Amino acid sequence: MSKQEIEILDRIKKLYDNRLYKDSLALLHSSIYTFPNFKKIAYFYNLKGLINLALKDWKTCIEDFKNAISIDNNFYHAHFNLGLAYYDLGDLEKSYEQNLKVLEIDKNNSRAKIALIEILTFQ
Amino acid sequence: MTIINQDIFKDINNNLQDLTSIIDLSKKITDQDVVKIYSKAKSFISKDIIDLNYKKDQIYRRNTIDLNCERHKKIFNRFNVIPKFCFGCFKVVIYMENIMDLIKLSIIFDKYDLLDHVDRKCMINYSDKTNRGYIYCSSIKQCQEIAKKMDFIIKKNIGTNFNLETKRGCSEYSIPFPNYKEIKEDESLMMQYPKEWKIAEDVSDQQNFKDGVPIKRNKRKSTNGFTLSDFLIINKWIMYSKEIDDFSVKDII
Repeated sequence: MSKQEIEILDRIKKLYDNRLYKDSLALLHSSIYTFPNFKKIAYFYNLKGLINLALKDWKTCIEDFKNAISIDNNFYHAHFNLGLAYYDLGDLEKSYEQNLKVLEIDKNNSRAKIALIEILTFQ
Repeated sequence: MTIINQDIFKDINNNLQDLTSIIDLSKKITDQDVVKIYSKAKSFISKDIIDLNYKKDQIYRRNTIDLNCERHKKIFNRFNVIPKFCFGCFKVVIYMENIMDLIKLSIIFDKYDLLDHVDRKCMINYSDKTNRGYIYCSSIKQCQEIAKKMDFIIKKNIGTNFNLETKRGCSEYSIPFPNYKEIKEDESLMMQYPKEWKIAEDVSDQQNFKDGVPIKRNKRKSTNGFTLSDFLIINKWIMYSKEIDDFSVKDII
C-alpha cells in the first residue's frame, strides 16, 4: 500500500473510532474512486463492514465481511465481525460457526472463546 | 480442530445445564445446594477456561424483546436528555444481603416461569458493594405485581434478609433528574417527557442509524438452566467476596 492509501485508511478509521460513522462511510466511499486498489484489501472491506455494523446495516456489513474473507480467508477479524453481525440478527448458529473459524486460525483467540460462551447462554 | 473446539464449549455447557435441577422450589435453597452446584460445575471446566478474561459480571436472563438500551444510553450521554421510551421502563430492584444470597437469587431468576417474559439480571454494584437483582417491566402495574410475587418467593426460597423497591428506568438518569425514578399512585404527578427532547433523539438517530430510523436487534431468549457463562460470573463474584470480607461463600472457596 502507498503512503497515501495508508493515510486515508487511517483517517477513515479515526472517524469510525470517534463514532462519526456516516462521515467515515462517506470518506470510505469517495476513497474507492481515488484508490481502486482498496477493493483488493481485506482490511478495507473489514473496516467498511465495521462501519456498516455500527450503523446496524446488517445486510451490507455481512457482504463486506464476506468480501474481506474472500480476499483473505485467514483474516480472522472479518470472521469474528461476521459472527457479531449474525449475533445481532439472532442467527446464533452462524455466529457460533464464525467464532469457531476464528479459533481454527488463531486457536488462543480469547474474544472468540468468550463469544462462544456467550452464544451458549441463548436458546 | 473445529470439532474439538465445538465439543469443548458445547459439551461443558451441556454438562452444566441440569445442575440446578437439584433445587426444590417448594423449599429454601440451602448454602449446601449452591456449594454442590458450584463444585460439580467446576469439575467439568478446565483451568484455561476459568482463567479466561471473561468480561461479563452480570448474570442475565433475557426474553426476545430488544429494549434498545444502547441507543437510549447514547442519547442520554451525548445530550443529557432521557429518551421517551425510557419513561415507560420500570424495574424491580432487589438488594440481597450477601453474595451467597445473590447466587440463590440468580437461580430463582432462572427457574421461575413467571419471569420468563421479562428481562432480569443479578449483579454486584461495585461502587457501593451492594448485591442486586433487577427485573425490567413495561408498566407500573406489571412492576408492582412482580414485586409482590418476588417478595413472597424470596421469603420462601431464600429468607427475609433483603430489600425490594420499584423504580422507573436507569439509575444514571436520576442523577441529573432526581424526580424521574419516582413511581407515584397518580401517574400524572410523575415526571413527564419534555417534548423538546425529541429533537435530540432525532439528531442522534440520524447520526447513528443508516436511514436515521432506530433499528433493533433480533434477540434470542436465554436458555434455561445453568450455563458456563453463569459459572464464570459466579466465580468472579466469589473472588470478589475475598476482597470485601463477605464470608457467605466461604464454603465454596
